[in-house]
Formats: sequence, structure tokens, C-alpha cells
Amino acid sequence: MLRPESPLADHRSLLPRRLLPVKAQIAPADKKKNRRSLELNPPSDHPTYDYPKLLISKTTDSLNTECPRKHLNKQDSTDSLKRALLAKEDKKLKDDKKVAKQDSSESLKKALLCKQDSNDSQKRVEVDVKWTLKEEKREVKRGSDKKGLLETDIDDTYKRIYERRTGCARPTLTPVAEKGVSAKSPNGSPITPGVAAVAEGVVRWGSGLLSPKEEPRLRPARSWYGYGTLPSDSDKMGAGANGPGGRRALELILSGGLKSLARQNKPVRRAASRDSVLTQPQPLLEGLRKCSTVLALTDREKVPEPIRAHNRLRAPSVCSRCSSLLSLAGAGGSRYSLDGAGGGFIPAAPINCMLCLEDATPDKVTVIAGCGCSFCTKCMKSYVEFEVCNGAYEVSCPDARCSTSAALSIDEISKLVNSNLLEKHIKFRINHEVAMDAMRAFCPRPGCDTIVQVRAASPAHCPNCKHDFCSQCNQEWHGGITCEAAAASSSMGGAGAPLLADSELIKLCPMCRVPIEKDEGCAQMMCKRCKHVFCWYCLASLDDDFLLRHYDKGPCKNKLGHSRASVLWHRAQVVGIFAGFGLLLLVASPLLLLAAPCIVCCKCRLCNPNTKNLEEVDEIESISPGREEEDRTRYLAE
Amino acid sequence: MAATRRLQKELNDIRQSGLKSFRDIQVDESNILTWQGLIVPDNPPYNKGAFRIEINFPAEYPFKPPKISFKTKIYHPNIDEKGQVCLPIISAENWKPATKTDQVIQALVALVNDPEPEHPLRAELAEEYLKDRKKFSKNAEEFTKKHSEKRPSD
Repeated sequence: MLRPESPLADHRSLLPRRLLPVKAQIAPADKKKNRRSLELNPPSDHPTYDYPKLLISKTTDSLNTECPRKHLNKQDSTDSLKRALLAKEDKKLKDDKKVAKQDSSESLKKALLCKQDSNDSQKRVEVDVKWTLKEEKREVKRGSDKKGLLETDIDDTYKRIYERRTGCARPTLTPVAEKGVSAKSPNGSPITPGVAAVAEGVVRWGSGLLSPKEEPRLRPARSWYGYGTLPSDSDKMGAGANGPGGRRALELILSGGLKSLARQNKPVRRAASRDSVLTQPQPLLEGLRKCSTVLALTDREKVPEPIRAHNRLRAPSVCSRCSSLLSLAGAGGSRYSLDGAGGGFIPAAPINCMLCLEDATPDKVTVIAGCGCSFCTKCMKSYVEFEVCNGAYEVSCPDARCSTSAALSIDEISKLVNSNLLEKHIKFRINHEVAMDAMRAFCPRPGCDTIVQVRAASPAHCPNCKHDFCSQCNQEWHGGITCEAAAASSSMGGAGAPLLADSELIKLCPMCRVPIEKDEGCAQMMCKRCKHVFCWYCLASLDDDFLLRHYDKGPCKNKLGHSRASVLWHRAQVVGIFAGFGLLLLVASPLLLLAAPCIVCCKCRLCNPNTKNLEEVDEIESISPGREEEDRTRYLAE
Repeated sequence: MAATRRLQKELNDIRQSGLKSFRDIQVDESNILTWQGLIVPDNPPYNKGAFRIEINFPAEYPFKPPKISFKTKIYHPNIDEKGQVCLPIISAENWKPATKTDQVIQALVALVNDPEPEHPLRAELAEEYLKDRKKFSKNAEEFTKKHSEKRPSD
């Protein structure tokens, strides 16, 4: 692709070193020869490979006349000024080494600090650090570049952009941008600042996609673009090196020259994997190239100071290519655009929450990790609270059309509800799980909620209260006999199977076996759960004993706990009520007989299909359901 | 409060979209939790009339499903004499809060147009529907003529 008539043919060597990966691995002896072979036999069949060349041609063009670095340095903080001056003045090998070293340690620190910034980018930062270190070492060995200079320039520029925009000190960032596009021209020509400016343009352009809020996470976005330029270039190189003299170059690339680049491919793939539009970096690169060109030109004509990044793409003066690129990014996912951290995507446009049907800004949106559906945080909060309060085992995606309908993880729930509710939910879950699990059971002793491993036909041992029980009937372990036999024997003589030492106060209902505590009152007990009436002392059923004759004789004689007079009064009352009802029925029977035809008539009218007005009927019948509904809502509210 | 706001939006959306099968929506200004409207089915034997329904939204809407009842009598295997209707998407166990009322109404209209005799509320009608479709259609048509409301002209 390198046209001989182009003045740039001579500047082939001015390409950023990264774009010529072969060089790094060439043995010193045949280094020159190999590079020449690549240059003279450029890869032939890759029409879009002209990207780096054009990029440089434009920028060198524009930037050679007025180097933006000068302006940048003017405004630099004293620290960076010092460093820049140091780098400028001492072009000797020794000094360069120092600068490089200093920078490497600095970038290391920054990278480490960056770790705290975002967890998402942590891994990549580590990779970056390693890479940077490796790079630095190689740099020092070779000792012919001005990497340090570049680094400080770019970094300080970002610092300045950030400080101006946010009004506070910029969190330190790993210098990634310079890695992607850092220029290492072997002959130390003025290309360095030019490429730096391109890198800057690219970076500014990239960061312009982000809202100011995302600024601290800006770095990965830069790295995205930084890396983004690489893989296609290297691929093209590899693919295009089939020419007559390109075989050697290809071999070299394959033999390990691309190792470093291959590693850098990873973030790009990861970033792009979310959106099919971006799986092909080519259109992006195309747009990027053009954008950076324009940026570089504006740089020359207008301002030396950095362009305010975040608004550029949305400003009316935006380059049409940028906006077209934006629409490209938005074309696949429609409501997604590029994001910083993790090279991933977050919803950028306001999202219409399907629960409240109102638009929510991305910062007020909760995305369900399992299915990717997003709803506004407020709605999700009330939804999860409602579900938890209603004893849901798991809270799933509220959208019926969500195909995965993923359940929220405990982590997600804990972010949405307070600790109290979360505890409740976890308790619910455990209860449900244990109830569904034949291998586990709660220890039946009151107060001991230990979950015990159980096996059929063997005693379950609670490690907490050192107590053996039968997992089938939740009673004391009854050895070889069946649960029914054990229950029968215990209700005969065992007086409700004294589970506890103080069994005089707490007994089990002979019917439903719920523990009942008697703190006061007489010996006639009614179970609140199953409405069974029984004698507290002998647990005999009193369901049919209206007159309490059980306490007239037998072992429980006079143990009722009421005076003789009150028992007599009670009996009189019962007899009176029965007599009253009988009398009433006797008196009313002629009336009922008279009214019978009317009642039958009414009934007939009800089921008569000719009755047009259904509302009347409903009025009668809807009374009870209405009240039920009310009761339920009140109950739920309580 | 959230229920009221969402319902207001949904009501506006439905009124604007001009659903053909659900017309004449009447909502009391003081109580937006109760809607009334006319179901206008397209399929025979119900295409000769319109059926008034009432939708009752609970205060916990959209986390709890709305309740639908027919105010007009209808000869339908899935709608009983009291006007209760068995619609799976608004049953408590299936309900999803992101489901909108227009989807519920569309499901209801679909159910009215094509009865589901496999899950009947009136077993005798379901049996008739399956065994003697002609008789069912005749009965349903007569019933519709007798009881249903007039279809809106437009």
C-alpha cells in the first residue's frame, strides 16, 4: 500500500513502532535488512491498511507546522515542565534511561491507584502494568527513544482536561494511550509530537463519548481505542506478508514479534463482543481515522489547549463522521453506546422503565445481571420489597416477555432492600430449601433453629442441643416402632410426649401437635390452630363435652379450675341456649313454611337467564368477596 | 401513588392507540383503580354484540395483578355466570409487573374470540363446545343477541 510517489514513502520509518511489530524482535545483526524487506515488499492485498499511514500523513502535515506539544508544555504544571525539559535537553542515552525508569515507576503507581477506581478494569490494569514494565525494560535496553517525553505530555494533558472539567484533582490513570499509538521513531524525528497529538485526538474523541460522570473511568475507553488500532494492522501485516520478500517478515511476525500484540487483542475482543456492530473494527477505524484527521487540522488552526472532550460529539459543530460513527455504535443495540469501564456497554439514553412507564436516566437504572433487563432503581426497590414481603422464594425479572426471566442474586437483592428485609428473605429461602430437601430438617426443639442432616429410619442428631429426634414426625426418637405407634403410645400414657423438661407448662396439641403453653386459665383448652378442645391434664378430647362432665369423675375430677357454682352456671347457659334455639325454630316453622314459595321464587329468578340485569345479582354476591379482598389487603398492609 | 401514575399513563396510551376491540373506556376521576369498557370481539358467535367489563386494579398495582369481571352476561366456556374470567396472565402466580393493561386486554379479547375448553370455568359449556360446536354456536349467538350491548357504530 505504500505508494512510491508518496512523500510518505520515506517516512515509513516514522510509523509508531507498535505498528511495525517485526522490529522489536529482530536480532541486531539482520535487523536493518529485515525491516527493509518488509518495507520494500509491503503487504499487497489489504485495501484498508492505509489507516496508519494516512493518519500520520495528515497529522505530521499539520503538526509539523505547529507542534501542539509546545503549547501543551507551556501550560503544563511545573512538575511535567521539569520532566519535559529534562527530556528535551538531555537527549543522551543515560538521561533517557533515567526518564524512562522514572516514568515506568510512575505509571506503575498510577496503575496501582487505578485499581481502586474501578474493579472492572482491574485485570486489564494489571496486564497494562506488566506490559508497561516489559516495554520499559526493552526501552531502556535500546535506549534510543523519547518515550518519557510522550508519556508525560499525554498524561498531563489528561490531568488538565480532567481538572478543568471536574474541578478536582484527576485520579491517576495508567498511561495507556501512549502504548497504543506511542511513536518510537528510531531516528528521533519530529514525528513524535505529531503522533502524540494523534493519540491525543483519538483519546479525546474517545472520551467525548462519555458523560462527565464517567470521567474517572475514562482510561479503559482510551485503551479501547489505543488497542483498537492495533489488531487489524498487525493482522493485515501478517496476512499481507505473502509477497516475494514478505515471507521472512511473516515468519518473524509469527515467531514472536506478534506476541505482545496478540495479547493486546484481548481487550478489543472483550469490548466488542457485546455488540455485533463492533466485532469488525474496520468501520470504526475508518471513522476514527477521519475524525482524528479533522481534529488535528482544527488543532493547527485554532487552539493549542486541549479540546473539551465530553461534549464534542453532541455539539452542533460536530464532525459529521463522528456523528455517523456514533449512530453506527448505536445501530445494533439502539440504546447502547460506548462505555468506559471494562470496555463494555451501559445504557446511555434514558430508559423507559416498564414498571412505572417513566424515563429513567442511566444512573437511576438497575440492570438485572442474569438477563440484562433494566428498570429504574426505585421501581426495582419496591418490586423486590413487595416480593420479599410476600414470601417469594426468589425474585425474578418483572418482565413477562423476558425469555430468561432470570432470578435476582442475593447480592442484587441486598443492594435494593434494607438489611432487615434481606434477612427476612434469606430466612424464607432457607425455610423453603429445608422444607423441600428430604435430607435436611430443622431441629424441632423450640428456640433451636439448627438445620440437621437427616436420614430416613435413623435418628437425626442435633449438634446444637444434643438431642435425637425422628425426622418423620419431629418427635423424640422412638427407636424401631413406627411414628404412628409412637404417637399413639405417647398420647396414651406419655401425656403429649414431654419434649421438654418443663412439660407442665408446654404441651403439644393431641390433634395437630403444635406446642401449646398454658400460662393461666382453666384446664379446658382449645388449640388455636386446629380448634380442638381437650383437657390440659389428660389430653382427652372435650370436643363433644359441652357440659364439661369430664371433670365430674375420673382422674381429672375437680381439676377444671373453676368453682362448682360457675360450672353449674355454665351448664345452665348451655342448656338455655339449646332450649332457646329449639323454641325459636318451633315458633318460626309456620312462618318458614309460608315464606318457602317466595324463597324458591327468588332462587328461580336468580338462575333465570331472562334476568337482564346482572348487576343486581352481583351486588348480593359480591359482598363477601369484596370483604375478603379488603381483609386480605389490610392483612398484607399490616 | 405509583399505581395511580402508571394507570394514568396506561389509560392515556390505550385511549391514544385506539384499540378496536376495547372501546368506550370509562374511568371515574376520583378512582382510577376501576375501569369499565366494552369488549368488541371479532369472531362468531360473539361478533354480534359488545360486552361490558370491569377492571379492578389493586392499590399495589403493578406488583399485584388487576381483576377482570364481565358485567354483561356471556355464553362462554371460560367466563362464568358471575362474570368471573380465568385469564392465566393475570393469575397471581403468573403475574409479572411489567405486563401492561393493553396486553391484558388483548389476551382477554383473544380468549373471548377463541375459547379454551381445556381450562373451562363452565364445564358444561366446554363440553358442548367440544362435542357439538354447531349447537354451541347457536346457543352463544342467541345468548349474545339477547344479553349483549350494542356494538359501537364506527
